Amino acid sequence: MHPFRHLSIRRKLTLVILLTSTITLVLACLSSIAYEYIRARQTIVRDLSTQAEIIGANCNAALAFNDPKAAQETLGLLEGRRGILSGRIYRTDGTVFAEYVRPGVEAPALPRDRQQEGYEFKGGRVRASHRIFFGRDDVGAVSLWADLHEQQASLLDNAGIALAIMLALMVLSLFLSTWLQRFISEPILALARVARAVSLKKDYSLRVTKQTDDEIGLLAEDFNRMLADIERHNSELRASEERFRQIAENIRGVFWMKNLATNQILYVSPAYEMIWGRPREQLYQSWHDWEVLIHPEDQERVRNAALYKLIRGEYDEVYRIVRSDGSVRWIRDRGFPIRNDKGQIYRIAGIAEDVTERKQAEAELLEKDQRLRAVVNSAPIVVFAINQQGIITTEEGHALHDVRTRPGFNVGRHLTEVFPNNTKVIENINRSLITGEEYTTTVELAEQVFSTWYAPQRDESGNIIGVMGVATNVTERFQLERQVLDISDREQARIGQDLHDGLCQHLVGIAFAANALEETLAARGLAEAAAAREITSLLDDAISQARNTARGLYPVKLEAEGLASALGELAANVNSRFGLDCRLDYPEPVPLSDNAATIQLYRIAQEAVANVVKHAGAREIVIRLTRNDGRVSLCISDDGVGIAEPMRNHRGMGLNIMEYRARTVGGALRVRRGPEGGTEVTCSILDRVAERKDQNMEARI
Amino acid sequence: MVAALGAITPSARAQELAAPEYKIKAAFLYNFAKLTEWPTNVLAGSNAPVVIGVLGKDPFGPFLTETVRGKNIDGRKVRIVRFEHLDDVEGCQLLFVSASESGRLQSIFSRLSDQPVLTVGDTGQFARKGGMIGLWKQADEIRFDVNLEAVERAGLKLSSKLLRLAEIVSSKEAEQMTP
Repeated sequence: MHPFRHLSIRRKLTLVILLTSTITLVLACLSSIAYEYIRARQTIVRDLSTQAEIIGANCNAALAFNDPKAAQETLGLLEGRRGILSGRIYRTDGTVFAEYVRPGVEAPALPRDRQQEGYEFKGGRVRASHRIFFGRDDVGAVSLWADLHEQQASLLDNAGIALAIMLALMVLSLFLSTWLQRFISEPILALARVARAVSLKKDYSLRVTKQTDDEIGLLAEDFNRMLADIERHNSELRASEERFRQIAENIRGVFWMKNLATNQILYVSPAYEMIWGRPREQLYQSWHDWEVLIHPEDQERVRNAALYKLIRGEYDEVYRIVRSDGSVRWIRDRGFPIRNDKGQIYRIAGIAEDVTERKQAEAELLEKDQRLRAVVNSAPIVVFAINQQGIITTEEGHALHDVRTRPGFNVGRHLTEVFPNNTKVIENINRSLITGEEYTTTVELAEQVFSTWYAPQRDESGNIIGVMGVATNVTERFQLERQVLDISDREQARIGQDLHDGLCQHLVGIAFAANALEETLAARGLAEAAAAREITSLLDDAISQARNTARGLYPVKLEAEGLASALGELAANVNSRFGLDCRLDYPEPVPLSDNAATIQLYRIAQEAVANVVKHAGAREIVIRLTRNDGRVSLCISDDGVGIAEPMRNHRGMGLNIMEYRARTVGGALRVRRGPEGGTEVTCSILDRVAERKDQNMEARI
Repeated sequence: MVAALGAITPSARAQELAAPEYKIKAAFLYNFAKLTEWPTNVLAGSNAPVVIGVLGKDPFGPFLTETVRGKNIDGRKVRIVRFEHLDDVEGCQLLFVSASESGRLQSIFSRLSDQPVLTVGDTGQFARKGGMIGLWKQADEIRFDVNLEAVERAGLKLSSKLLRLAEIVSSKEAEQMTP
């Protein structure tokens, strides 16, 4: 704690310069005066000694020959030396041989030791004594006294001059130091002013003007650079803080951060007040504040988790809080340890979210799932999913029991393992996997028929990752449908047969009778003969119509000559009856061994053509029968208005019947808009499959 | 006379001043020898002593011998030699002519003429008569005359210090007296 502590730099510098120069001056003066003093004394002593020696040398003979007068004369010469006050010559026995005393001066007392060679200072005087030798013989001594007052006076004069000069120099030095210190203090003070302004106003955009190129200049530059750094850093920090705040304060979760050592909450986002319903200040004051509202059943678990899991980074707790209004909120609270540069955990950051809605949604979802599961597990369906590798991932539904398995039994197994001999299942799944087509078809499994809907599963980017589907056990319905069709077919056949064998024969009989009547009337020459002929002609028409109808109901040719022939007759019939260009096109003979299939294909063709006639407004119908890869394909196309696109929603009875018929024989029916307009109805069946089914179906058809 | 001097000087200072006359004169002789410069050939060899001779009846008693005992001049010892007759005088640098020889001064001076011998005497007008240094008494003080001509004739040099204390006299008067 030095005494200049509170002085300004300006004063300090001035003071330092002044002190230095003053001390230097005083020392220089003192040493110069001391030197002067010592030198003057030495000079006096030397002069006096020399004088004494000279007098001694001049008086030795006088002493030797005991001639005081001669000595007196020699001493008398001292009168010319102003500083010398008195002189004495002593004999060897110490008695005074000769003496000189300057007039007006009091003679000094005899020196105590007259024999002593040398000098002594005493009371403003100096004495120099010298022994006198005559040859080698000691013949006496001489003592001279000189006055020092003159020297002292001159010394005082000199000191006064020195003091005056010193004072003048000090004034000059004060003036110079006051002036010169500015070169150092000004830049420092400028720097200090800016530093103070910066620290008071926190305005880091201030800059120091560099005034010199010395260390202070460098300091100013460094200071400016530091300010620039701080400014930039601050703005980055502000921006970063702003971003953080925007995130933290707009996020619906509570973002919190606490010091691990002190448990002090460093930050908690405003959402805390919204979710907890408590002011944040309380939490800042005591970090335990958040615990207060925790549901009693959750408190211990959460406390323990906070104690042991936080530092391990495993803290992830869901708990309830009971707010002051009594409402319960579900909170998911997670904590993450933050490490410092040394890798030590020193803070914990966390986020607490209000997951009440999610929790409710989860509960609802669970309930829904359970309900769905109940439905699935009680309905005669199978819900399944298969991934891209052919592994079964889901298998649910009550209908699983129909195929002698249970839910989840085959999950994780490969399709080929589960269905080693069922190529149709694999084909169907592959179709959906590869083409991404969503479709419905029937599959037979363990003597049960399933109507199965396949749909591809896609990931976010639309790539197919699997297939899911719902299979409905339609065995019973299928059988009923078949029976209905069989019954209707049998009825048609019976009606047709009845028409042909009953009504037609009857009509033929009436026609014969009418003809006979006409001939009779003509023979009689009666005019009524013409009317009879008219009746005959009408009867012929009726017979023809009845036969055609009978034929439609019971295609005799089908059984007698096969599908192609029957279709040819159908076409011809349409041609003649409706004036449409209907033709049959079959590039090669299509032998079809399955009678059931034959009859169903014929009925499909019949239905399709009837639809065209009724709805399409077409002029041309083509019936094409082809065979390709063991698959028999029947296609009826027209050039009419075409079918409405969302056909699935408006399928009429006709379409449904056609589908049932196709399904009955294991075929697939497709109805679509033709490539050049119009409608195209295609039914394809596997002849092989049909063959296998042959035995079963034959009896019913 | 010695006893009378001692009797009339009771105080220490007076006693000192009234020291036996020939004790003072013996010191004077020794001091004269110190302030005299002889020709370089006289004192041959660095160890040659300075010889002080006394011609005639020795008035010094023991004083002269005591005075020079242990003393030396420019590193030379001082010897005292006594001569009965003028003819015996030989090899001395300073010769004190005793009062007993006052009648034979002229023969002494002519005998020693041109010899580098400093002649000292205490008989009346010794220097004026042709001697070199003559001692005489004024009040109680012993004073001396120097006859520079005689000194120079003998080829000797006396120190100015000596001359400053001495009274310079001439021998003309004495020569005129001598036929």
